[in-house]
Amino acid sequence: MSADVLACGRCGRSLFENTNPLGGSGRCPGCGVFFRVEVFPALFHGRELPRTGEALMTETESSCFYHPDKRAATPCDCCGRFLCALCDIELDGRHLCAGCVSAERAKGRIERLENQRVLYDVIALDAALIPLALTPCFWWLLPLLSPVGACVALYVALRYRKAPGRIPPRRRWRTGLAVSLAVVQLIAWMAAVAALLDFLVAG
Amino acid sequence: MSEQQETYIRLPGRAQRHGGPSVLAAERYRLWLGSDHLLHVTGTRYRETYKRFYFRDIQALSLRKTRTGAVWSIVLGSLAAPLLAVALSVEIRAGEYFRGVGMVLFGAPGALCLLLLLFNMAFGPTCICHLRTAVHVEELPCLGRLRTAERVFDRLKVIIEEVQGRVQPEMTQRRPPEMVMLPGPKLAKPPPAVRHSTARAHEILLYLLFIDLIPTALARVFPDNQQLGSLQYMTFTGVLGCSIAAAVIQRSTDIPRSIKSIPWILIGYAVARTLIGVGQSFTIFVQMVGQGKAPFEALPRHIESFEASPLFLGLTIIGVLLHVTLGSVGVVLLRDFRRRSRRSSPVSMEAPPGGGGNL
Repeated sequence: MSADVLACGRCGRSLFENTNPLGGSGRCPGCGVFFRVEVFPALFHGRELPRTGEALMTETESSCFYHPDKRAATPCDCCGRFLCALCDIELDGRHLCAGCVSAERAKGRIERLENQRVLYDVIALDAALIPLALTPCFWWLLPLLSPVGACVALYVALRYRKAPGRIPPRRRWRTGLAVSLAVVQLIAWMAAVAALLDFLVAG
Repeated sequence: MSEQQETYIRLPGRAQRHGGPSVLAAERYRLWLGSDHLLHVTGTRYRETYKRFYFRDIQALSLRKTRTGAVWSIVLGSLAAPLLAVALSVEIRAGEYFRGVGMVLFGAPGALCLLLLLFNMAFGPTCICHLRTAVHVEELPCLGRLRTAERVFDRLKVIIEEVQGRVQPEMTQRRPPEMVMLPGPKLAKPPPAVRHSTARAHEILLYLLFIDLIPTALARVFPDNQQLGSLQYMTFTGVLGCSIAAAVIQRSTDIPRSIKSIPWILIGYAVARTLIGVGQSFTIFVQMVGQGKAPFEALPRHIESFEASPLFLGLTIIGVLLHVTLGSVGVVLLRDFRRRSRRSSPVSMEAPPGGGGNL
């Protein structure tokens, strides 16, 4: 009986002492707290034994590129090297060797292996917006922060325009808005400087 | 190496946890539903980290209701009510000189607390969720509200069962031996052992409740007697101190919940009374200054006015009723608890040979 499979995270007592151990909801018999547990068949599967690859039986058999004493099972779909069952990495229906997986991951071509992304569109937007947002309190910083922020926003937006955005996709209006704000700020500052110079020359 | 763009559907629920002093360091959590996996997104404003849980690997989903939401409701409610009452009171009594002060000082924070309370109540009770795979257990902070979590669980259950099938009763028989319980965050350290208590602190507290009635009654009869006022203050402080001590001592003991709730009710009453008292005193002070009295002149007089006010009388009556009710019920419950304890473990309850009780 699998009465001890799932226990209360608060008091540690088994949740299914007297009830159906296949999941469900109720109150913990120990502390009375409400719980719900959904159990799936994977919980009851044993752990798979690791693949080791078959040993070569005769000299004429093709061997693995990385393990010469193991029998080749499949070629790498990327580099064509022969791989044994141990070296074969199946990814999205393709068979790859560890080297190719590593190289593809470094180039950011396998989205499923990416676990981190920098949000350049948000950085650009903040660089363009923060100086403007600070203006009501720190107006005296505006002449310094605004041109710098606009330049940073333009640089980030253009330099990383092809960088992949976040993995759950979203619209790319942030980059457009950042560029627009930055350009408007730069034009405004250039016009202000030109007017000041005109005034000084005329004076 | 062209790859098909994965489409994701956003699941309800989001959470934010502060990772440092800066707002930018706050971590945000969201769940997205992919074609064959669940994407758990953790990120600050400028960087996101992803964890994928493939439907074929998910072993269990669990949620446990927590008291966080209820505690927040109590805290916000006990802040909002006195603050709004004081704001209203100040606005009604203040003269031209202090017009608007009550609304700014007390009304705005009170309204904010009320708004947060309404939001908290609208979102419903809180919970903690975990997702279990063969190699680890992941907390899902974005499913922090029970209603949202249940909705997401219902949706995920259907999808995961499409991939893995349903659990059959015979599967539970061939469970591998390494399967253990779903750990919760508190299981990292073993749960504290429940120890036996004679509830001596509660007994003293209950006696103090009755003792406190005497100076309270005498202070009403002789309102000008300073010694009685001091004595009443001392017994009130004693009740509060004893309540705090009992609330600390009763943790992880076998004292019934009904008895355990007595110190907390008294602490709540003391806090509410103090807040109302401070607010009312401030109102009277503002009113006196508004009437043209100098602050130094108004300060000693406003205490007398507060003690003569109907609110003070109401608070005193509520306090007396609370003391009598809690004291009587508490004594009965305590006797019942001790009788049951003696029956269940007569040896442990015996006094040691040298005398003295079993604390």
